[in-house]
Amino acid sequence: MEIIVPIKQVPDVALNIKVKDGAVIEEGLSYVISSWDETALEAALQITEDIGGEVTLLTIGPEKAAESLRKGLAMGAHKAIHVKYYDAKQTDSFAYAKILQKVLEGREYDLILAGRQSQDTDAGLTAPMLAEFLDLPQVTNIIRFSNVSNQNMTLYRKGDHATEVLEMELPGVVTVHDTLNEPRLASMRGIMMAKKKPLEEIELEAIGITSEMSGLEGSMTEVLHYDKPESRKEGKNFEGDEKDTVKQALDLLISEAKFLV
Amino acid sequence: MWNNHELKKNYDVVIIGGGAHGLATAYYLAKLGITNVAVMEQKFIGYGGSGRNTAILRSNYRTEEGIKFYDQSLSLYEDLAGELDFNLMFSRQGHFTLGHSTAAVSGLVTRAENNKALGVDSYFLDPLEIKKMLPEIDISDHPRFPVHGALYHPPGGIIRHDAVVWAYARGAERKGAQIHQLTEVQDILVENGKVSSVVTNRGTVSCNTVISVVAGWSSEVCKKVNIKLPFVTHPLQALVTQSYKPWLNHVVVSGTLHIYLSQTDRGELVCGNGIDTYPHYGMRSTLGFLESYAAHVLELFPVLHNVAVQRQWAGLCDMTPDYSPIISPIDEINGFYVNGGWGTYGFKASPASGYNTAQMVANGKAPKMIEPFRYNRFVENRLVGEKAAASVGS
Amino acid sequence: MSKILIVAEVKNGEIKKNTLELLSFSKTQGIETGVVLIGSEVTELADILAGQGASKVYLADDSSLEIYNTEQYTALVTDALQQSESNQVWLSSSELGRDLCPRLAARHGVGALSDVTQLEVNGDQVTAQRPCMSTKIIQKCQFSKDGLRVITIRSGFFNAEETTPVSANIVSLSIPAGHAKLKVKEVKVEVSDEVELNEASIIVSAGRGVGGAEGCDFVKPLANDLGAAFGASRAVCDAGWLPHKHQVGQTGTMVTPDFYFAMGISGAIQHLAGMSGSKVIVAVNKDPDAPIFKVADYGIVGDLFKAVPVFREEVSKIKD
Ligand SMILES: Cc1cc2nc3c(=O)[nH]c(=O)nc-3n(C[C@H](O)[C@H](O)[C@H](O)COP(=O)(O)OP(=O)(O)OC[C@H]3O[C@@H](n4cnc5c(N)ncnc54)[C@H](O)[C@@H]3O)c2cc1C
Repeated sequence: MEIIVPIKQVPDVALNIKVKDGAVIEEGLSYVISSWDETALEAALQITEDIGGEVTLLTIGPEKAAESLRKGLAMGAHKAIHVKYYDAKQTDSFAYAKILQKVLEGREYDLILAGRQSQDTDAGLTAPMLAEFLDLPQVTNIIRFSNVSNQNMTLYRKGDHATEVLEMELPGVVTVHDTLNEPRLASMRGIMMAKKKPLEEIELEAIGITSEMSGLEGSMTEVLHYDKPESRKEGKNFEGDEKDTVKQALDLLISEAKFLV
Repeated sequence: MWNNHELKKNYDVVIIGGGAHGLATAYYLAKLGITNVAVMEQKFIGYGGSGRNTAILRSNYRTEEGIKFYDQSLSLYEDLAGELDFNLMFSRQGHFTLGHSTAAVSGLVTRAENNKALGVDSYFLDPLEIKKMLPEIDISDHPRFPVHGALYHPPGGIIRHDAVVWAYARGAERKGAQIHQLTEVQDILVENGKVSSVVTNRGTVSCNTVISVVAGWSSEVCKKVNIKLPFVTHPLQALVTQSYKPWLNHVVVSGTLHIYLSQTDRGELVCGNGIDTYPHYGMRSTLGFLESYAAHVLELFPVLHNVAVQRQWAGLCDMTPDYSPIISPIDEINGFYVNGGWGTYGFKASPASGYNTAQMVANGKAPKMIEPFRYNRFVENRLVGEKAAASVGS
Repeated sequence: MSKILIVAEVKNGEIKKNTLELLSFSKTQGIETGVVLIGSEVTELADILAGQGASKVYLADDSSLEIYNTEQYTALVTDALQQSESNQVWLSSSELGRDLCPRLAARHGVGALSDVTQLEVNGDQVTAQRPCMSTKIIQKCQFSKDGLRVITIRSGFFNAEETTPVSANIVSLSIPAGHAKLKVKEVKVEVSDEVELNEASIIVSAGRGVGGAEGCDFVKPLANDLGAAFGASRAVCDAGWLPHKHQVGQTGTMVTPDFYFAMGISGAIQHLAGMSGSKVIVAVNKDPDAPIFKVADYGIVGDLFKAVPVFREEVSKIKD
């Protein structure tokens, strides 16, 4: 099985994120592989360990995105493709999906396994758009898979009201929900070997991506500015015997917030 | 939980920096009866190197001044858990410094002799003796840098670093000092050549004495009183692995390979290497560090190949030209003292540093033990050269 | 002139609240709005949509459409778009919407804005606000090129008005084939009469502080008393104390109820990202420094095992 795992290097959202004048402050951000992508990578590694094959990581990003590829290689991916993209700002999911399409055209693969959304935009658009551009079936938000062979696989998708069990003929595009697995940590040997694994570098021009197809020009939507969410107004805290505090809180819930009235 | 205090209008002593050194200083000052003391910490106690270090303790230094000082620190550590009534998990498990060349070996032999002469337990081991104590080590001639021998230092070991921070903080508070977290010292005011007050984000307080105990931030604080000391701040990185079977019962350091490791009671391997080569105030961890660490540690201990890395981080180190600290009154400004230059090796010094700094401030004069660490030794050309014994982090 | 097409969602033979919210909102904009209604045995729901203001209902009622599938839905919505000459499609940001929106947009060669919480429509000009980075940041964005606007909108941000059904103007769509390479084998519906998280106006959630499956059983009756949905933090689901469908948070269900009761939840960022849009938050936790208190309107520092019985007792008094 040949699996492509597109990964994105994103700011670590567990850390504090600050904005100033409508933009996110770059300083102090620390960059990681989007956590949903790590789940996809783990799933891909499990499949190839099970039935053989190779996992290829694919990222579109600046020079420093190579670090994320090397981390993924250290986790166990077999090779990586780095599409050099120096000014990724103002690139929307549509433009990313178009670039991914160009990169993948003419390549051989059975499965594209991606995160359900990326941790920076939380948009969740790129993978299904790519599926459409490549004319492949898609199953999003999977929480389990089984019966994987080189021709097809069974996918359990978390739908709105039920778990939908689907049988997909490959090739296809799958996105993962993060309860699917616990991504592994890189071992010492993995970290060391990562440097020796093939990492293909591609310039945008080489795959026919012109300036009209990238950045703001290639995008269909644009971010005007970033803001902190309005902070909730200061709450009221109650300490002491629960018999009293619960009653006090409920009284206010009813009088101020119209609870149960 | 810490008590939050309002800032008082006046303190006898303001200590800038809530790391182990600042808190230890407050504790030992209080023991001397000086309790109108505030520790000002910009973030939270242990935010700096004291919460980020790899907690290796040893006293097998190179110079007489260094050996005596670190040895005093170790003996203070010995009784500290009892004194502060806090479990510090001090484990004296023995400390190896590996040598990978003839030159390194002769340096280690010299250190062993210097140590012995001053009553510090250290001796040289050949590869076969090392192998007996570290059965998994590769002493063959396959690695690029085969092991030629080691300096072994039985009293060396590890401690629980956060516990040291908390214990000193509690000890100082119990005796009356005030610890102010989220309180950044923004300026230090000097009148007629004498310290008069410090300006913080929470207001200004007057004081007679200010001690800068801020390690990696030392240059920044000295700037506020227009003093330039030879501190250069470099990041130092470390990592911790997932738990592994109990396997390593000693601290192992290799200068040539730039790595060191020890194992905690939880089974995690705590690992580090030399400082990042560029001066920088950023505390970010890099993949380059992971890669070089992995490559080097596997040369020494091939068994570790499957051990997974759990977490990595970085801290700031205030390096001095001779790899020794500066603990000193500053002659130009009455009432201003500097305690810094702890580089990659200062955690082990916390007790002796706090103890002697307190004595210095109480008596207005540095005790003999720390006289060699005066700030003007660099102009007087009386360096305390510890580079050979302190260059790899720890 | 702008025209909007809304993709309706149906559950248990009823139009979902999120669809009604979208219709009510489009009414306030005074823009002609059609609805595409897809499912099995859904024809009679068309009148409800018409009552909410749908000018036309594009209907695909077929047993093959009982369960959502990307291919048929994309084809059907495309068909309805062409027939209605709409230049905007609004979907809910449900799992259906999240799957369909990007596929649909790509088929029409345009981009999309997903998971929007505020929307400004000015003819063809559409600006929106949407949370990103685990809800730590809000971005304001817009469509920057001409073409179809495909948007998914989070539920709970607009009110659904009550209206009476009127006879709908129905346009029947022909039923396209499903994807040749993708077959739905079965659907595991977790049958239950529990209130669903994303539809609930009150949610009571259990966190690690409940200590175990028994702790969940201890809290759950309060949810029942209140007619509330029963939620949980990730820790509780990962530990297996409750199934994952109860999980509130960024990786579980994103919720915006009127009242959210967090019992023994410390407030990890993924959890906060999933519930901090709730109108009123009540938290009970032993640890006064728990991050949940930063978002709580009413915070009770105390033991949930003592607090829950008092809540139940007081609520039963109020209800009497
Ligand atoms: C990765 C790493 C590993 C290490 N390993 C070892 C080891 O194994 N053994 C060893 O002995 N040493 C080790 N060290 C070195 C050791 O950590 C430090 O030398 C030691 O902790 C310094 O303690 P300190 O109290 O002087 O400073 P810190 O602990 O750094 O405390 C300084 C404090 O000052 C505060 N501060 C700064 N500016 C201001 C201001 N303007 N106002 C208020 N507060 C301010 C900071 O927030 C900080 O909390 C290591 C260091 C690192 C980074």
